[in-house]
Amino acid sequence: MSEPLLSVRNLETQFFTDDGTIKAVDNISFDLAPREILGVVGESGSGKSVTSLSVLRLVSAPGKITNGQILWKGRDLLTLSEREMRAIRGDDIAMIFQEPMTSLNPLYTVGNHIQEALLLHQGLKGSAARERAIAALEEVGIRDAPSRIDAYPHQLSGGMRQRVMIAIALSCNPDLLIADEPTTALDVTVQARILDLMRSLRDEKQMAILLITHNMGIVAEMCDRVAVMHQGKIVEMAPINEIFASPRHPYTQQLLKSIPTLDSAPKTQLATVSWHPTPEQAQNAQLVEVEAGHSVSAWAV
Amino acid sequence: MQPLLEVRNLTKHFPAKSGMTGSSGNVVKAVDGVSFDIAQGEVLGLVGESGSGKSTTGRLILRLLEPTSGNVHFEGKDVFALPKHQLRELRKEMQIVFQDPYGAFNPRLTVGNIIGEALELRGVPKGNRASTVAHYLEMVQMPANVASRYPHEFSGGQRQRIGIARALAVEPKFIVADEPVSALDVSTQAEIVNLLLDLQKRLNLTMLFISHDLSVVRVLCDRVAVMQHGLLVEVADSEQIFRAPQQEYTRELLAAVPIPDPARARRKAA
Repeated sequence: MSEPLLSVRNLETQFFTDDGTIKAVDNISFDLAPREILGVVGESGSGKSVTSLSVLRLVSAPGKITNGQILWKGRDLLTLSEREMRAIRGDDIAMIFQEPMTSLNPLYTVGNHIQEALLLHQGLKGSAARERAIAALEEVGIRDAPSRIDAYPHQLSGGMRQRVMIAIALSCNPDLLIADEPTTALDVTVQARILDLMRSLRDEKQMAILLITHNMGIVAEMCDRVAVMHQGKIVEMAPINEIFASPRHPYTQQLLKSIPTLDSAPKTQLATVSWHPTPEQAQNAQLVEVEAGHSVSAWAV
Repeated sequence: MQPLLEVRNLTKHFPAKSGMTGSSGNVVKAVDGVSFDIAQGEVLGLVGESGSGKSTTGRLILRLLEPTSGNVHFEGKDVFALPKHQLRELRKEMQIVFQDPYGAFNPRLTVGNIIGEALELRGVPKGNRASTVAHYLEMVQMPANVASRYPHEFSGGQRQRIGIARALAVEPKFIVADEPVSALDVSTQAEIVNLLLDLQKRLNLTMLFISHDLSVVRVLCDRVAVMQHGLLVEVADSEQIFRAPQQEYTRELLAAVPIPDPARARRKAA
């Protein structure tokens, strides 16, 4: 196996609130290889978004990374200065979010956004930056890019805004794209096009993707491997075919069974998810490899 | 047999706003001549993408919006011909469940008062309200003691149960459910879908189930109406829609749904 691009080791992120301390991410470890798509699935509160924010050191107070290492090409991001970290963000690792409207400044045109990224990370200015920005928009399938570049975010549809976000993220040729529920707010047909786009960009640019989602359909269609999170822990991690064909952890098993599909039996109750760890299980939750690349909580082996 | 609900040429145009003055004389045809029936005890799924007009259709049927033209007959009564003061009567027969019930609750009312208001509409005497509230909470599988708590104390799934309890407390003959499970986590979604299935069967509810999630529609609905750009593209039995869709747009919608099975996934690279 090639050297991992990203290696997260024993990451722990806690939130210190008036009501006590919450371990949002509880001692998780995973690797991401170059051009690999790793899915991180789980329900709200499982820690999947906090994991992705932790990788970029974007967790803000009252949250704090309290332990672990985030090795990026061998260098621990947790030891970098904020200035060094800024160079990593966007340049090496880019991120897109669920709701592009809140990530775009309404007073700036599409072009302003992309050109800002190009200036900050590549020192490109003027007509060179504009040309590069138009090319970036064309790359993500925005038709009529030379005129769209002067549009404001509110003049674009949700799908177009997400394409713009991807264009900004990709403008500096990152080696890793972190996509946090990138299509959750979009219609299915638009979602399908954005997923196709992400996949083809991975193939063309050899970019790895960390894909945070609650949608197992998207996982099945997009990912090479998947990590299943529950209450801040990774409970199971496996290649995509393995996880669907032979899930080992009861939570994964129940989650997969509970999903309605186009082939679900009409008018028939869905299976539900009831698993919660017993105290002994919680004590014995460290991942153990059961087959090549397939790990599961120790107690479930 | 006469259908419970008949929708004929239902149309809603909104003035299109453009420019600083906000009036351009143009209209957005949100719903543009839609007709369908719903039989007693039937669940009709209304699917389409955002902006297709499905939610507007639901609100027009309940007369939460006034139509541009067309009509809706409920048990033979012309809904749009009712004088405003009789709308209260209509609300006893038709109810709505929203995507985010939190936005629909008065945050200062306890759960008991929220459901109690619905009982008042039905004329349940004050003395019987507490026990009747408990009855409806039990129906949505919640303990009676939650009646004294406030909406913000509950999770999304629990709030949706309260929203359903409130709708049911009026003993409606017809419910519009507008994306009731879309904002929920997978496991909570399964629980609410199961609850709706169970209640629909037990109470023989008639429902218009508005959703963009075709998989959930597959589980819940007897028939499906597909909307696009304010028009009905296809209306057919669920089996037909999912097994042999007739219209290109229906096929396109179905094809776009990601399949949670890597062996059959289409997007997978070789």
